[in-house]
Amino acid sequence: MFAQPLRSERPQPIARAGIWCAENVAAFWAAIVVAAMVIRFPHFEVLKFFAESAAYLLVLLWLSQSALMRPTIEKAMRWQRRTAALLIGLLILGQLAGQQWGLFPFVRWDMYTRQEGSAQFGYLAYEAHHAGGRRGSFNPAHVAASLNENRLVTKFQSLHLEGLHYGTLSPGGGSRFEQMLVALCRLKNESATDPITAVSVYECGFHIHRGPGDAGVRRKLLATYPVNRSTDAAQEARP
Amino acid sequence: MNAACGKQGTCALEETSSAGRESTLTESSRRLAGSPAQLLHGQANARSLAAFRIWVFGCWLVLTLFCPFTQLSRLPVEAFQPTGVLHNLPTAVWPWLLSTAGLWTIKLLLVATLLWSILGGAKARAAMIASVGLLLLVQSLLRGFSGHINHGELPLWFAALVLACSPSLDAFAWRPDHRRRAPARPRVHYAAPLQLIVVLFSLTYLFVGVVRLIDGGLPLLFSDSLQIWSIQAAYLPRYYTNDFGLLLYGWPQLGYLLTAGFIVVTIFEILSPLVLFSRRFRYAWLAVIIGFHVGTLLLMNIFFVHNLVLLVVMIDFDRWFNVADHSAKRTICMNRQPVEAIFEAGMPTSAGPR
Repeated sequence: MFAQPLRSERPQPIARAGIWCAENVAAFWAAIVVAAMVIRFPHFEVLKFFAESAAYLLVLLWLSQSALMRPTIEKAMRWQRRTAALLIGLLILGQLAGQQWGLFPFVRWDMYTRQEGSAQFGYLAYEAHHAGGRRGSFNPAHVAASLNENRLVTKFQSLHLEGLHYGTLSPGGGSRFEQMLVALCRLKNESATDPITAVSVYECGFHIHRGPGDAGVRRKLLATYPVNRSTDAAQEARP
Repeated sequence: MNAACGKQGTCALEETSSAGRESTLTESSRRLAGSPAQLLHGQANARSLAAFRIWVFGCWLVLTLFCPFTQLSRLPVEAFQPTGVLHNLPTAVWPWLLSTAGLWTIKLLLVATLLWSILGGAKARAAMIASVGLLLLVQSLLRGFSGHINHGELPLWFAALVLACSPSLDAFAWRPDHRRRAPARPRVHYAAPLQLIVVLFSLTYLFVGVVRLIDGGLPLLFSDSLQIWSIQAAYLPRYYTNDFGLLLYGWPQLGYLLTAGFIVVTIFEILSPLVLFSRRFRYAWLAVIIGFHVGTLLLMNIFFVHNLVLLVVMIDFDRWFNVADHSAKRTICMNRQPVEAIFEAGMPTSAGPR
């Protein structure tokens, strides 16, 4: 049914043996290198890395060699196979490469995978000072709804650490923490009848075993930032 | 195979119809035997893939309309940290991208391309690719103002990407972009994209389960970490402000339930790729994962709405469209009967067999 390839097109026995040898030598070399790496760098993290990558290899082998999956792989169009290989490859690359911001959207999936070491934890709380003299809690995530979930919590944590590092957290110090917080208060004021005039930041500490409620929370005032003062001229200029 | 079938298109048609007949004949026997010996979406056709395109791009359209990301123009550019492709853009571009005009332009373009992808109008393939690119840009901008890279939207984005590179415009398209009838393809060409989405989606769960087992191990699974995270979430100023985690103080027995749930969810996460092969496991997996996502909303104030809408891909919805397919075929056969009778009666024809 199929046209037989010409004798000159067929791989010669010596060439076939060469390919077989090359494949096996490469696998042999990879096994030795991996073993040597594990012996030379016996760090727990390296071993965990190899264990994790081996788990993905097993899953890939199982998926690709499954009797049900093979016909689909064989009958799919060539570009479909290539797209699948590329996407799965990038997904695994992002997973093994760690939390690299440059590789987004192929990132590491490791949510809630480390044991919580301490029952004590700290967090930042915000209090808004309104024009009418009223004070109330301020939740930045409710203002910027597009940055929902946990995004602003971690953003403010990192900006706070940065401000501590550079010593710019005091009001008017020009920290990005202050700029971000004041910008969110101004955003809130656009739709508020009782505008925010200042916002206080508290560092809170809490121990799980102290019981629920605010009684168990230690609060320390870090700073109070006025909202009306211009802290970001560039932002105001942005149309 | 090509030599035996003649033209490739004819062969594909025969393969498609024979696969459909085979599926209807053996479906009942398979059910009786209790052994679903085929992959999820093994019976996919042009309609089921197109319906899933409408679902995914429709979800993105609704989520885009309700996501006020134009607010980002009011935040200081200094606090922006580029992610992904934005890393390679010159810094001078960020202020324009993050300006009110820039963000509104992106939003309007995104809504238009998503709408065009759903309708399947002319050049819809280009619209799909453009919308996938714009979605990635928006997600990168949002993460630039985040303290970490959250994963919530990524599986739904992967689904849109795969659909943009698949023959998902062969049906339910207002005006196919190739201006002629969609070519007949074997079922596997429609099944493969859906199965790839299932594989990618299940891999994201597998990754978390494997890392949890290797990094945290059994000490993590049997620890009170989940209880601590639930109580912490009640205090943190997140978008959702449920404080069900504090119930653990009143009912400590809930802690045992949470620990058991944590172990069960991790096991199901690791076994996620099995959803492709076993229907029974798939139903159990869906029950566990939906419960898990509802639980994370109530206890940890994290809501995976994008993952929840993508769970539709775990349902074997192709059967609904195959039923429509069979009824359509029956109607065609009934209409064709008199014509065949004419041919059988010896009506002269010059066209010859087609």
